Amino acid sequence: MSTSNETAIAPVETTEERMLRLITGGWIFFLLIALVAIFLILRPAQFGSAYNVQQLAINAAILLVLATGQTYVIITSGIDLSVGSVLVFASVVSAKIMLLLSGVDGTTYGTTAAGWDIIAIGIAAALVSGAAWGALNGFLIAVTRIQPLIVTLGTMGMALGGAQILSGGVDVRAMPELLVTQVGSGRLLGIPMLVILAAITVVIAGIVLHLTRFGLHVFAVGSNAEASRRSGIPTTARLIQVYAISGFMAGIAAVMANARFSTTTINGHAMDNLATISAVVLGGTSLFGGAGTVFGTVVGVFIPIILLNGFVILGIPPFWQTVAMGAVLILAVWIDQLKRRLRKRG
Amino acid sequence: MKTIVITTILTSTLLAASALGALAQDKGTVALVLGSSGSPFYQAMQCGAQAKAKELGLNLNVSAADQFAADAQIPVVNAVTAAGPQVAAIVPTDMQALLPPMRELSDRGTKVITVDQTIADAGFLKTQILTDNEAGGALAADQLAALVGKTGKVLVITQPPGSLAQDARASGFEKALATKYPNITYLGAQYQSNDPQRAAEIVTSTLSAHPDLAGIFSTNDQGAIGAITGLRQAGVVGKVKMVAYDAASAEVAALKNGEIQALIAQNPKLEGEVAMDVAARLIAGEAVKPITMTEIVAITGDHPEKADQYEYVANCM
Amino acid sequence: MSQPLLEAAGIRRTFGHVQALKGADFKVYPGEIVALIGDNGAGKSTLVKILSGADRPDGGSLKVEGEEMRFSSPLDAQMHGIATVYQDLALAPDLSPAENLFLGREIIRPGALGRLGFLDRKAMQAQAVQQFAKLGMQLKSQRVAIASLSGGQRQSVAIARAAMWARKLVILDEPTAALGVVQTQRVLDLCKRVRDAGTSVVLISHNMPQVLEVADRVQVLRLGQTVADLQAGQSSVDDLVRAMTSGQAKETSP
Repeated sequence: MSTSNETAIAPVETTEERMLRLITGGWIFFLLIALVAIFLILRPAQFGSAYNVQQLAINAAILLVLATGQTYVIITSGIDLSVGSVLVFASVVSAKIMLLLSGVDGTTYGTTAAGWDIIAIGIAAALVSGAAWGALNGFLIAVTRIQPLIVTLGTMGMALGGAQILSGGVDVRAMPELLVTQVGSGRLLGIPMLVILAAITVVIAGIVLHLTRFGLHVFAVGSNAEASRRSGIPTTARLIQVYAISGFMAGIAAVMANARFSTTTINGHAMDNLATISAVVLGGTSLFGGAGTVFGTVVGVFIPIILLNGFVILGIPPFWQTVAMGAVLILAVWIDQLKRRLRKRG
Repeated sequence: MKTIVITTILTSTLLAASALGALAQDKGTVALVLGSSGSPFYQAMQCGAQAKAKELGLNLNVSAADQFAADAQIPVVNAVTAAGPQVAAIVPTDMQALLPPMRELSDRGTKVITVDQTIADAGFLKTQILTDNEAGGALAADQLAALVGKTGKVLVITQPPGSLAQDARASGFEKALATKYPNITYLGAQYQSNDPQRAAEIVTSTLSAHPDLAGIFSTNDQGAIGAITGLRQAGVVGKVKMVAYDAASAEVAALKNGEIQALIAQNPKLEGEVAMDVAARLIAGEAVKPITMTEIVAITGDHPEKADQYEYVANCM
Repeated sequence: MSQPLLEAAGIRRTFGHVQALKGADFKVYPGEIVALIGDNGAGKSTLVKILSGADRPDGGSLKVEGEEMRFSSPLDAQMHGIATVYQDLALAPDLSPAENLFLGREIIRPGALGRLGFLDRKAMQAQAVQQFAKLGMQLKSQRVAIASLSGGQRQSVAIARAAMWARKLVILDEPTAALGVVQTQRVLDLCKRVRDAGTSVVLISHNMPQVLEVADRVQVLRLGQTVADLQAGQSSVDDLVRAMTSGQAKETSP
């Protein structure tokens, strides 16, 4: 009986295919390096100063945390438009609770003398309210089967409206002194606290996504939800968990924002949802779901930030930054489509 | 594959090429950070500043975030700090959140001035270029009171608290109403955040609750545009009197159409020019006054030529 | 004669006014490939759904290795060793062959890391390589997304997965319907190797020559009843067609 020669399966990948995989997978990283190199060459003392590098990292920190949650969501072939609004909601809830517990009049400016115990409660409030909005998103998407775009569009409005109702439309400007100085502008071994927080969050998120069973389930659900369901993966639970993670990240980001700006920023964060989606897509995560990396998102977050920074330092009118960003984004999606087409042909 | 590599190289080269233009570094360097891009007020300021900078031989870089919000503006201020100009003129979008980055800018050797808006602690600023927003609000109150016959219900449409200029306009208006026009019923202030859509909705809902609304004061152009839309929708243009701050082209057109009855105009072009004047003096090492006031004027519909004169025109864009 | 792996007798199933199955029989013995054929509307898909656990009969008996059984779900059937591969394959296109093999049954690391849910990719990869080797499958790259494999290779991964988790019986619904000649041949060879490795195969197909080539036995369904149980080696395409259309078994040659 013939056993057509198969004891081992040779994983054959030609050099050409390998180069292709690297380039289409890693091109965005090369673009980032190219940008950094160009700006460094043109303005070494200004772009490359320790101050500037730190500011870039700090400016990226909050968006990075948000974009990490968005990565999970987009890998399930969903989308979360509510991230900015949930951040605002969580920041208001957190600030109000800390203010209440400090027994200080809400119209004060500056900082309060709240201790770490009150701050801890404030942080918990932000995380819980963020996760709650996220779970609501997940429930509506997974159970009632409404499209993610529509659901998160709705919660985007509701969360922001909720924040405005809770705050009366007026920013809460009295934050605990400790939060602002230790977290907002504090440093550990010379590295800004905000950057450390973002780094820890991103690393944990990356580990969970790429190394655990839960993470593999996220990819599976995004790649083929029906197949996952039939294989015994609890797809409804996973979807709710993924959106809850996105909301939870918004909660973390809210605490970071409160610490950094020393005020809630109810009128800000309007573009955060699109910024995170751009970052995730730029980083190589496919909008169709099933594929993506946290590392790619990190690169994707830094590209617009470095572009803006470099343009301002060089004195290029700000409009060009938005034009450049739009072009790079289209390029990224085009390349993703190219990858898929090449893959099918093989 | 090859195409992608080539495209990346091309994109990067294009960026580099466009940047090479901005390499001249021997003149005095000044940075101007506007409140937001895409606003006629700030565009007029930019034009005035750019013309004056050219005249004075200054190297001016103008930048702005695309939203009037602290979290969008701070990265821009950080980048300006890294660039290290000799003077930075900033329109702060939040009087508290912008404090740390602007202080850092000053600590690193740049002379910092504020234009049009200001921050909560002005100690390290070389000067603040301001308009008397409170007086502007009071002026608006006078205009509106005259239009409604010193009686009836009036509404204020403004930004949420946090922008000193807007806050001052609203409070100046309210104080004048309280002291000089007791017969006017003040319905309070409603917030729209540079969102004409929202302003329109505020107006239509107010009209539903108070069909006898007599007048509206909008503290900026976006609110005014939205308010007019609301009035048009309800069919009461001209019946409900409108006084609006700023003289953006849309507002000037509305003034000439009779949709707005009076404008309180600043002179952003002048503010931009003054900023450059101050910058030149600071670079030369001269002292400047801590506060520089620029003018505000009231323009009524019967003086269209005055409207043209003060219109926020961005003819340099 | 050994005991049948799966024995269905007198299966009845009605949907509203339509009697899809009016007493269908089906038998699969260990170590054989049985084809289930019938014209459109004969009741094949209904019978398959019942055998695979996706549906329950209204009457008749179902025995697995002699024991009376009622499957509550396909997962239940799988626990008893019966897996079905439908035409949509139920594979995740972006995941690798190994990840697909272990979809829903991922191997986690031992110890504390395992409790946190850390995957043991090495073990999954090794077992996947083993399974593919056992079935004589050669994939060009182990780590790519299966979307970049050909239709036939994807089908093979689906079959390999079914064979891995259901040691008794694998039911294949029209596995070669969308494949070209060469890929079809590969899949049929795979079916034989699955049988040789100890798992029986039930093949639903419209392709008579294919059926005769690969199956050991052929059971024919017509209008909701089993009308013939033929030995593939002793039948011709005409015999099959006659059974399908007229219900008569092989004509005895004069």
